[in-house]
Amino acid sequence: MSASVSVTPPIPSSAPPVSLEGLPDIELTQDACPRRARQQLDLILLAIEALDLGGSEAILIVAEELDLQEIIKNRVHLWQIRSTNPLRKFSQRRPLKQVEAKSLVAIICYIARRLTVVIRQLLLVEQQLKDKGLPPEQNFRLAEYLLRFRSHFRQRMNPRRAGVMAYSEDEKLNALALQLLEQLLFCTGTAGAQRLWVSLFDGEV
Amino acid sequence: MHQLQKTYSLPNCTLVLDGMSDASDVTGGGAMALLTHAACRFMGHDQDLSGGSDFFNSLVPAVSRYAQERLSGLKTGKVAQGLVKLEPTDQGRHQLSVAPEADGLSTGDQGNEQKFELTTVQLFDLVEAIDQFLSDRSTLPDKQLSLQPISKRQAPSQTPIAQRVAAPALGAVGLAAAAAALFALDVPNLRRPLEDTGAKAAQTSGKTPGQKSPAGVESVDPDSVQDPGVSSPAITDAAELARIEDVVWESVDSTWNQYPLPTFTQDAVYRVSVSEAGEIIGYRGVDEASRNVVDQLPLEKLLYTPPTDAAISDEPLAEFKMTFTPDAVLRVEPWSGSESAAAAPAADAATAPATPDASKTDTSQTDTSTADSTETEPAQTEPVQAKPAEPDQSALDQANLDELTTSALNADLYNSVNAAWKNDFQPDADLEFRVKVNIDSDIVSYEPLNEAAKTADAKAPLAALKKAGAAGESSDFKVVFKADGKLEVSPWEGSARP
Repeated sequence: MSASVSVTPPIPSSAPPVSLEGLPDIELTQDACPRRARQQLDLILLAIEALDLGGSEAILIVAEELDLQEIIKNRVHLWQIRSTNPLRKFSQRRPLKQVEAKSLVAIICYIARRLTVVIRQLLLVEQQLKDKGLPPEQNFRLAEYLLRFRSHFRQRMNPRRAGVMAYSEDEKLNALALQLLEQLLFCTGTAGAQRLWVSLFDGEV
Repeated sequence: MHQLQKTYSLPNCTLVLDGMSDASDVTGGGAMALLTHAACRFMGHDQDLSGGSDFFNSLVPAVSRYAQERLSGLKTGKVAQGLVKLEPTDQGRHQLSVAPEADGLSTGDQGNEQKFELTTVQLFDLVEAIDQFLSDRSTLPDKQLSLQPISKRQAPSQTPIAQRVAAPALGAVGLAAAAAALFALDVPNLRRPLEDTGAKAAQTSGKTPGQKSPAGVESVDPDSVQDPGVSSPAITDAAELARIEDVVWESVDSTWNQYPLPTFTQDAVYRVSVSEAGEIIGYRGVDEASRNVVDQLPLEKLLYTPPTDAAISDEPLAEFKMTFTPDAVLRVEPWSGSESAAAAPAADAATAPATPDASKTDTSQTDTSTADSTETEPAQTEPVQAKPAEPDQSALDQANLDELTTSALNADLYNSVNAAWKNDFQPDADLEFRVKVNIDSDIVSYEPLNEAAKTADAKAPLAALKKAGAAGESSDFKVVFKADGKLEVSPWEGSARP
C-alpha cells in the first residue's frame, strides 16, 4: 500500500473563519454596523462578564478557539471594537465592521452556550420571585449578577450621555441586566448566532 | 407512504409532529413530507397546544418573529397575520394565543381560542424545539430557518428620527415660508433677530416682533419673541434628549471621522442647539480657544440651512454640550445636565448658539446695533458670558485624558513587547516586571519583581526594547510573561477594562 500524502488545500486569506458561516452579510450603505448593534454587542458582553468571573478573559480565549484571532487580535483591539459602543466613556471613533461584529456574535453565542445552565436557573428564579411579588435581589445569585452588571456598567459607560443617564436608578439598570440575560438565553440555541446577528439590524435595512 | 412521528424534546417544551412520508417511500425510512398534526407540550400545563398544518404553519413564523423582537427590542409594526399570536404580559411572561383553525382540525378546545402563558424559559424551549425541527432535514425539508431584519418600514415607531419628523417639520417650514413671502415686502429686517439672538430667536421668525400673524399661523406669545432665552420650547424629556443625542452624536462623529486629526491641544467645547430631527440649528463655542478651532470641526458643515431665506420652523430644540477632545473623541451631553448649565439661562448674544447666518458673518457689533430696532434688548444688555468651565469639569477631563493616554501606552507597550518576545524562550514560571514608559511609548526602565524574572534570559526582551536616553515623565505598567506563553500588560494600579 502506498503512503498517501494528505494535502491541505491552502485557505485563501480572504475566506471567512468557519465559525462565522451562517451569518450572512447585511446590505448596508457602508461597512459600518449601526449604533444599536454596537451598543447591543458590548452590553451583552458586559452581561457575560457579570455572569462569569473569568468572562473578560474567556472572550479572548474563545476568539482564539474559534479561529478569530486574525479579526480580534488582542486585548487592546477587543477593547477598541467594544468601545464603538457610543455609550462608552471612551467611545472609539471607528466603524464596527461586519466581520468584527460577526466575530463578537460567534464569541457571545459560544460562551452563552457554556453558561446555559446558570442563565436558565437565574431566569427561572427571577420568574418565581416576580410571581411572589419579590424583588430579584432576594436571591443571592441573582443579586450578585445584578450587582456586578451595575458596577461594570457604571464603571465603563459615560455618565454624561443621556443614553446612560436613563439608567441612573438601580431598578432601571437591573431591568436592563435581566433583559440581556433573556437575550443571552436566546443566544444559547441551535440558531442563536443567526438570530442574534439578524436582530442587530432590525429597523436598519 | 408511511405514518411518521417526530419528537423534539426540551426540558420545558416538547414538540411532537405527526405526518406522512412521501408516496415514493416504500421502506418507511424517508423524510416526513406531509404534516397532519402538531402538538406542543409545556411543563406545568395540563393541556397540549395543538392543531393541524394551518396551526403549525402559523406557529413557526410567529414564534420566530417574536424571538427576534425579544432580541432586538423592536416590534414589527404591523400585526402578524395568522392563527398564532405572541405578546409580552405585564408579569414578564409571554402570552401565546391560537385562533381556531378554519378546517376544524384543532384538537384543542374545538372552536375556541387556545391561550397559554409561557415563562421566558418555556418560550425559549419552544423556539429551540422549532429551530431543531427547522434544521432537521428529515422532517418537512422544505421548511428552513429564514431570518430577515425588520425593515425600516416595518418598524415605524423606530424609524430613524430624521425621516420620521421630516414631514411635519417641512410642513412648518413651508408655512413659515409662505408667511414670509406674504410679508417679505413689509419686513426688510426679517433676518436680523436671527443673527442677533441665535437659534432661539429663529423659532419666532417667519414674522418679526410686532408683526401681525398671517392668517392660519398661530400667534406667538409676545414674551417669547422678546426673550430669546425662552422663546423656543426646550426639549427636556430625558428619553427624547437621549434619542436626539444619539442622532446628533452619530452625525457629528461620523463626519468628524473624515477630518484630519485635530491639532488643538485642549478640549473645544460648544453649546449646540439641535432640532428634533437631529439637525444642528445653531452652535457657539464657549470660549475663544474653542471658537478658534471651528474649522477643524464639522459643525459648520452640518449646520442646517433652511430651504428658503425665510425661517426655520418653530419646532422645539434640544441643547447639548459638545466636547471635541485633542484625542479626537467626541462627547455629547445634555446642556442642562452639564455643569455649564448655570450659564444657560442668560442666553445672551455670546452664549446663544450661532445661526446659519451668524456662523458666516460672525456675531459682530454691527449686528447688534441694527438689532436695536427690534425687540431683542435682553440679548444685548446681557454681558458676554462665555466661560462655563468649572473645576469639576476640567478635573474630569484631565482624568479622561489620563485614562486615554494610559490605554494607548498600554496598547503600544503590549504590541512592542509581544513583537520582541519571540516564543524562543519558554519561562518555567511567570516572569513579572514593573516597566516605566514615557509619553512617547519608550521604555525608560524596568525592574524584575520576582526571582524568576531576574535571569538574563528573562530580561532579554525588555532589555532589547529599553531606549537609551529615554526620559521624561513616565507611567508604570506591569508586564507578565506567563509560563503558559501568554503576555500580560496592564497599568500598574490595574485596570478593569478588557
